[in-house]
Amino acid sequence: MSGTWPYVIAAWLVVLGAFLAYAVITVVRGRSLSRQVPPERRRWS
Amino acid sequence: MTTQIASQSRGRPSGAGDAPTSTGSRATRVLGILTIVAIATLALFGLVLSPADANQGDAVRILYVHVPSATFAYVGCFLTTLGSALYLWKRSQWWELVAYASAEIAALFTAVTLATGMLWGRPTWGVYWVWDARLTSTAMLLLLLLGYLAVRRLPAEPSVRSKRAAIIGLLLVPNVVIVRQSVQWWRTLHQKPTLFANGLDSHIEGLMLFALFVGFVAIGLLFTWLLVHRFRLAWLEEQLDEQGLDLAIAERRAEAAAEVAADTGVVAP
Repeated sequence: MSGTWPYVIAAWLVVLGAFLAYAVITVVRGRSLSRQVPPERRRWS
Repeated sequence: MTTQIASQSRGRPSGAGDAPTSTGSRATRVLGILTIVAIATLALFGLVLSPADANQGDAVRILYVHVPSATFAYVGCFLTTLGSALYLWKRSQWWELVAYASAEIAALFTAVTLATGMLWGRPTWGVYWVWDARLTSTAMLLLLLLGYLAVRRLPAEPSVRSKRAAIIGLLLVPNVVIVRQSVQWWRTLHQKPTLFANGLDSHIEGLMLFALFVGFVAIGLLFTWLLVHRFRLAWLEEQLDEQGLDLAIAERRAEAAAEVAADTGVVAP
């Protein structure tokens, strides 16, 4: 393993970690707000 | 997204039974599965199958996520400017929410671009950061996006808040042009474009080019998935705001009616 691999791994972890965290926050908040909004105002398919 | 707003504008009633309980739908679930498969393929080609670069060594593997992240940050900025312009022109709430959702995702992608760029710069240039035209203009773009989001969240009347944010949103595409052209307009440490440097010619080929292509597909699918979910979340937030406003108005009217009744002894109808 060359000296650049730690930077490569760190960069990929930053990308995947940031996107995964944002996706989870968005989905969890969406579930929470969906319970508070009347059904006729949340229709998508 | 279109289905949602279209049915709202027609005021179509619906039963509670078939209403979604999250921001997901069948389409986003399919998109999500495709995104996971694409990211796994990207990891396989980007980290295992593609060779190290003759000059950069293994640091080139960072570019398979850095370049697509930057590109889709620009796409997010473009959508924000487009949405802002259409909001200012037509007062379309749909486009205002597209602009808002895109700006938040563009900010995330720009931050990721800066972070991965720094991690690429350290083994390649010997430093994490230099005040180079490309890096500085990208940092300015992130600040502009954060400014847009801050103004969009300031407590104000919704139309005033949206108008202020939309004016900032208009500045994003010109800023992206500066970021994109910075390596051509000024002497920079950052390299010049690799793809389409001279027309359709590129300074990359074989498995490295394929890994970069997979990167564009994977990050593009992820961007789309995030955008759809974030748009629906923004829609739900908007509905709750309106609901809260309706409730506050109803309470104020009830209070006023009670005061009148107490003063005159007549109960308002």
